[in-house]
Amino acid sequence: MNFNVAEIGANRLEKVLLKDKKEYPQRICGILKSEMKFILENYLELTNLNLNLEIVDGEYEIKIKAKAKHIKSIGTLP
Amino acid sequence: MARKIVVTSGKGGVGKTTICANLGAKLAGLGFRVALLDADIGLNNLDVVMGIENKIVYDIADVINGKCRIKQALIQDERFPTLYVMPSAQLEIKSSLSGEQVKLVVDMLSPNFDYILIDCPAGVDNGFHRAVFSANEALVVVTPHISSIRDADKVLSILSNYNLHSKSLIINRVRGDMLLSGEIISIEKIIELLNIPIMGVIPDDDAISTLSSLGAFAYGTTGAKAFSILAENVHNGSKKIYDCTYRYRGFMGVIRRNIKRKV
Ligand SMILES: Nc1ncnc2c1ncn2[C@@H]1O[C@H](COP(=O)(O)OP(=O)(O)O)[C@@H](O)[C@H]1O
Ligand SMILES: [Mg+2]
Repeated sequence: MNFNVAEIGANRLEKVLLKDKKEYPQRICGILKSEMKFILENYLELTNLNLNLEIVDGEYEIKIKAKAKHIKSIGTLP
Repeated sequence: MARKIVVTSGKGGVGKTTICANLGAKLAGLGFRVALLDADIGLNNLDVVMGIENKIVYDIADVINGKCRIKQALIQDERFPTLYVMPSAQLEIKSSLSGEQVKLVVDMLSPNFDYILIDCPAGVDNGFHRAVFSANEALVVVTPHISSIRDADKVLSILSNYNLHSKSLIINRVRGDMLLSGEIISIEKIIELLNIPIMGVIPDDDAISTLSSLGAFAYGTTGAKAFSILAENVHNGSKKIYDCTYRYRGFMGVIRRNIKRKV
């Protein structure tokens, strides 16, 4: 064995860590989308929801188009 | 108030439990009051590593459910009187135990201890959350292997969502002979790739695993020395790093390396 093993390993690792990091925003977007949906549905009686979160040219683009007939009842006020 | 430190990794079998037990023992040896909390529910091992598996009467779930008081569940170590273990719950409880409930127990322990070390399960699911939620510091354990480092990187991303005021690295099972021959990724490279401060380096030491089968700690070996340095670093913020290659350098070192290679 020679010094190459550690070096090759480190190089491969570096690439895989980068790849993981690149995919990470995509995963986070999925989570964020479902959280936003959850919040909107908590407050509004939605009739229509169009929620888009995409990465366009390295930027995050969030588009929400939603319709609601009314705000959800918040129970009895003190 | 105790320092609440979670020992985590992502990958299983990298030495979280071993580090919890040995770091806890070294800190207790320095006179600190230490509680080890086993948050690895179902795959708990802290009890056997600490040699207390036959002494468990109550566990963390009993404390939460009000079946016993916190003092009744804690098991005192026979070697270090200021070292205690809070045993993990039984598997059936697993899904119903929340991070918030574990935090309740940690907060109850806090006034009576200097350190609470939380042994985290492998993976990044609910069990991970349960273990990390009550901590304010994290020690991330890796071995010098690609899969372990990759998992640690993911864990570090997830940890950034928690309210931790420090995250640092422990590199475990480092073989000095393989570092010298360039067969494993160097300490410096691992630190550079993961980009967090290093807290300690622990050599691969047969005595650690052999003695842990007996519920005992390594004493006087390379591993034991490295754990002493780790405890010092954790306690006073020093940045000493155990040199795993030391034994394998010089004339005797070459002989040791050749012996290692033959076994
Ligand atoms: N530095 C070390 N040298 C030798 N063996 C070790 C070392 N650290 C851990 N081990 C052994 O590796 C195995 C897994 O360790 P463990 O602490 O149970 O990992 P985890 O809690 O991360 O799953 C055990 O058999 C343990 O004795
Ligand atoms: Mg374990």
